Amino acid sequence: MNVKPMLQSLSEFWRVYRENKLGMAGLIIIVVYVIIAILAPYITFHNPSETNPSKVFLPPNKDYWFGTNEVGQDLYALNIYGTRISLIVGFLAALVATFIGTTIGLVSGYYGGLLDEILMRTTDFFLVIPPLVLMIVVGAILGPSMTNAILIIGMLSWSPTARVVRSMTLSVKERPFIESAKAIGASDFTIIFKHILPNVMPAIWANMTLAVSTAIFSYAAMIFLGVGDVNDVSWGMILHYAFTSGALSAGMWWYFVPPGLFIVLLTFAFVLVGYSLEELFNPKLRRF
Amino acid sequence: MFLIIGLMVLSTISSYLLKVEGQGNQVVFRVGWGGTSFDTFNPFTTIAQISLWSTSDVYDYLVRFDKTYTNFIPDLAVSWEEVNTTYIVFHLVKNATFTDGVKVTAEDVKYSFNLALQDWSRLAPNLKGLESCDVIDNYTVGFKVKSIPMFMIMGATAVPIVPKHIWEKVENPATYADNPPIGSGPLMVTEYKEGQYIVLERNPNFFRKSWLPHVDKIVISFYSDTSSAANALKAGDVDAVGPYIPRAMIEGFQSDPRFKVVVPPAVFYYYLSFNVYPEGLGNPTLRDVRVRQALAHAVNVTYLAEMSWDGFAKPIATPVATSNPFHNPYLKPYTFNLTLANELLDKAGYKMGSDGVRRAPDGTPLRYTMLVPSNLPELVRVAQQIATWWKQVGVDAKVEAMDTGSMTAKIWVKVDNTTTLGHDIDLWDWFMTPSDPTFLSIFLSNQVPTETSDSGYVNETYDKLYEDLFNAPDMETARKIAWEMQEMVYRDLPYINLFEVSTPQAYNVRFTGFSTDWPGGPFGGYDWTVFLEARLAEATTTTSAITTAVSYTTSPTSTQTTTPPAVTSVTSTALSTTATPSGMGASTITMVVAIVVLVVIIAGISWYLLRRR
Amino acid sequence: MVSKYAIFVIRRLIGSLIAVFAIATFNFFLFRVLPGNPIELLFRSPTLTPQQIRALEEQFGLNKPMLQQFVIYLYNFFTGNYGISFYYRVPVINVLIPRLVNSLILLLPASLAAIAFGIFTGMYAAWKRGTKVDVSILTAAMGLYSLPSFWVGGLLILCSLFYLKLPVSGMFTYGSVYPDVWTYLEDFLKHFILPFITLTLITYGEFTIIIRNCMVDVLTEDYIKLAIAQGTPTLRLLSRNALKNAMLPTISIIAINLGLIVAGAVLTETVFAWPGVGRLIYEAIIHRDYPILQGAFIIITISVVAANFIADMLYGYLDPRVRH
Repeated sequence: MNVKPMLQSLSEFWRVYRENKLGMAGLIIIVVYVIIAILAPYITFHNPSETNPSKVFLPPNKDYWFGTNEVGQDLYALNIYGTRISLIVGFLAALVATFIGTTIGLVSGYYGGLLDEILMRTTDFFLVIPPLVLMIVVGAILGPSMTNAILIIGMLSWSPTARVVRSMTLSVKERPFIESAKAIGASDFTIIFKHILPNVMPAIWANMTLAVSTAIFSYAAMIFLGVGDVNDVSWGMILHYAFTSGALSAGMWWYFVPPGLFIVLLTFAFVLVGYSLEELFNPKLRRF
Repeated sequence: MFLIIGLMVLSTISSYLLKVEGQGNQVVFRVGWGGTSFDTFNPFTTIAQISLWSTSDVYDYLVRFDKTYTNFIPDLAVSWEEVNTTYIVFHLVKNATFTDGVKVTAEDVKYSFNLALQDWSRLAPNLKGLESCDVIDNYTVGFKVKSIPMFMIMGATAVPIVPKHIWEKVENPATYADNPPIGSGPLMVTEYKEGQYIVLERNPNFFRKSWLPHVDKIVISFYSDTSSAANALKAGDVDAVGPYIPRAMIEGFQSDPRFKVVVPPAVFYYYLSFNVYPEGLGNPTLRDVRVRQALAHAVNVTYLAEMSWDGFAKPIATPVATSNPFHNPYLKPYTFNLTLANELLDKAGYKMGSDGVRRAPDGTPLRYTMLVPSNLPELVRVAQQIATWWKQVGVDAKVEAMDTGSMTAKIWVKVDNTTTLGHDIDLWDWFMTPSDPTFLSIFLSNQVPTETSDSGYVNETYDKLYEDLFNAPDMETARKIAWEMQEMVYRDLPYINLFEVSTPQAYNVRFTGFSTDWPGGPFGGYDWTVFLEARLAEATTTTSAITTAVSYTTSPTSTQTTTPPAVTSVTSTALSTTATPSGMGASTITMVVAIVVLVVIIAGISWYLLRRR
Repeated sequence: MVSKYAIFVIRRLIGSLIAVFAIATFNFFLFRVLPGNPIELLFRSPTLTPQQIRALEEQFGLNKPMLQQFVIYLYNFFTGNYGISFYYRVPVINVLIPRLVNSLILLLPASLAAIAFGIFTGMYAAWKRGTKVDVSILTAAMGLYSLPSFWVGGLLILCSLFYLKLPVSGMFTYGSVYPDVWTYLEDFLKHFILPFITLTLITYGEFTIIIRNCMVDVLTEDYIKLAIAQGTPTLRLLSRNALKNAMLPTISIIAINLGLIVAGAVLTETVFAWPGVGRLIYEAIIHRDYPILQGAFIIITISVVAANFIADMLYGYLDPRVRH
């Protein structure tokens, strides 16, 4: 594929996207989060793993902006460092989900027939199973590690992407340029990846953004329930400890509220971006 | 199948509705439990502490412990005599009956001990020294034992007397659920819902009237975690909580005049275990006792106790709880001295490598993995702290937190069908027995295949001593043997014992009569007297403070009990005002009205929408 | 002659049965690869003898070959026997059903309330599509959608501690003696209201978005445009024509999303210690109680499959076009 038209369409896309206020707001929030994650060591004043038995459960003060937890760790540092894990898990899990979903959607839509039937039944199966329940169970089986969490979340949330990609593939397949590509003897592989994929790409982007928000949420939920690696500093872990240590019931809002706000704002940003993208590609939803 | 499910659904719903027909004027004592929930009534197979505690007054025992664990109180046996050093005779009360009306006789006692001796019984190891049990007459039973003191503390006080006429008809007593349990104790179980709650009421036919409880009903409800249980106490849903209140909430309960916090003797402790198993797969340098000694000197137990359970944890140098009569008080934790630890390692020939990690003469680096269960967050933090100290003596330890299932799979690995130890180091907790030395069995040589020993300590002298323990002619000898065993494991260091935790519990001052001397505390520990002693505090000045709770001693408002259920929402609000004089009426009305309106709206909309076009 | 609708029902029924079978198989193998011997883990005790371990393994059939276990499992599965709970030592179904009822008591009203509210706001947003009202409703709905249920639950617990003073754990004040129906109801509602609000809130946003989008699709159809041009009153137009058509896709989307509601319920029940299936799952993971986990997983998935089946039936009944 030519680089120039792609760039052109990208800048064209950017021009349209810029007009979308909500989408831009979401994008800016995400960028801020990424900056926080990168700059974490420079904008915190304590090592997040440093314990201090004489400074437990401190309310917010000028040394510890968000107070301290039950072993005297700085909650502000923990929250800031938590951004890293959440972003990494969110992106990678969404990547896994999108990869699986896209492949299955493309193959099933392009080849059709029995293969399509089997793949779509499988997709339905995964769509019906309550993902969180399965994640908890599988997480308990595979053992707690970030890699496992990423794989589990990725492998259990590809079905919506697969459905969307399949239906778009079905419509793209009927277009004349596919016919002509077939006529000049292009292989299936070439057709799928050179001709169909670029046309399906916008929908994949929209779905992937939504998948990121689902992944961040699912990861936090897993850790909150105690199925996950408690060594990794993440928002879910802070919430987990806030709940199990009784800090929440003791009314220590500074322990419980900030990580939740971080999660909500970030997932919200991804939902905004995802929805704006969807709106761009599905004119019916467009407001104008 | 669907019929069964349907019936069960209906019975669940109706069980909720039946609740309403209660009589007033009852004193109900309610305990919230935030630990592992009730498993089974079968006293021979239960594994949950809460099951033992809840049913501690449902069955009778031959004798009971007093709270010092040195004296015995007559229960089913009114008196007992030692015929010689190996034979003891118990005389039973003559007017004891099971709750189904059948008399308790010596046959029931013999049958119960026989059940307890079976392979599948949790009590079998307790009765190692029991040789025979003879029914002398209907109310006299004799035991031939190896050691009378050991039989008293592990058998006579531990084996519940169950009705023979019921259990002998049970096809497989090992799987018998025993619900509802038939016992002869002062309490009986009147209701039970798995994982939710259990209701106990006084047994009116109990033979010793002075033991009957002061309250009419005891309810133990199970919560998923300690925070929820503590919240229930705060909200007035329960009157006491066990096994402990979370650390963050202790201060709140202490400063609240409605509650009282108790700090009982500890029953559980944390430890660090080395893999010293000769056939083990872990890092071989840990089998060198000099390394273990150096590492023990590089752990500040006092700091760890303070860090994880500020004020409620006590460093401990042996696996036997300080409140246990067999505890060796002369053993003190290894001193924290990093310089000494470094010297010891230098002397033993473990040279510092260029990367800051010491190496054995054969080149094996002192690099270990520490396994910690992730459901014990404070222990994870303890492990992380230990790792930072060890780093300073040239030992590299990596902390791996995981669920207990994965952990057991990593510790006990099967190689060619034999179980061996696959890990380096693990940190975990044990519940300790409060009264007997059986807990020392965790260091017996044959405990690796049973997946009990996570250290793989092998020592024939130790095994021999454990056998001797069960033949001890008197308490003094037994104690001496137990002390010697504790010294051995202190020297050989299969474990670094960290600290025992006295878990604080709290109760509502509306009730009184609780003792704080029993290990594990009055609520869910080993205190069998709590249900019998609990009573309303005389000065009931605090009743008004419990605003959110339904009033439990309320007199029946008989005029409303017959209210027909099919009333319109208007009448219902009127009734609910009169029925709740506590002042919570207004919000309830709003809620009832809101829900009724909501249901009507939803039903209307669905009907409208789903009409066929 | 068999009607077209009957054929449609049978086809869907077979599809659902296949799904149930797949779930059953999946479920069996899923739980057999857990690490650690459940017996030894559950009964972690220094006084456990090898004989005891063997007796327990035999009791739970864990000593048989995998394939044999599977055959037994399948047989039991279809006869409604989900085995004996490792932990409670009673049939799984005895533990599960009361918990399921408790869950439904919480789930049904919350979902219905969320759908009811979702219809109003979704419809309103769709009618005003493109305006500021639409944008703000959508944004708010997306905000609600991003709320983690356990966090919302936690916030309500905080509120309750400081202001509301409502109980935050359990379903009833167990052991209470209620003088009459109304105090009983009051006690229940006090425990019910916070988890109910949590569940309603987190599902409300999603339903609003779903209903809004379905409505927008319908409102841009020609016949609606025609109706507007003819001057049909707004309210009648919305409720008579548009809503009815929009309900169909809405129902099926909601049925598909039931899994998400279940997930929300698991978290909410854990936070509020509500004695439902969600909390049971959480505890069963801690106890490594496979039979309970299996049973709960099966019950949940079958409920979701059943809900989808019913939604399909409804769809087919209301809209004959899909029967083909």
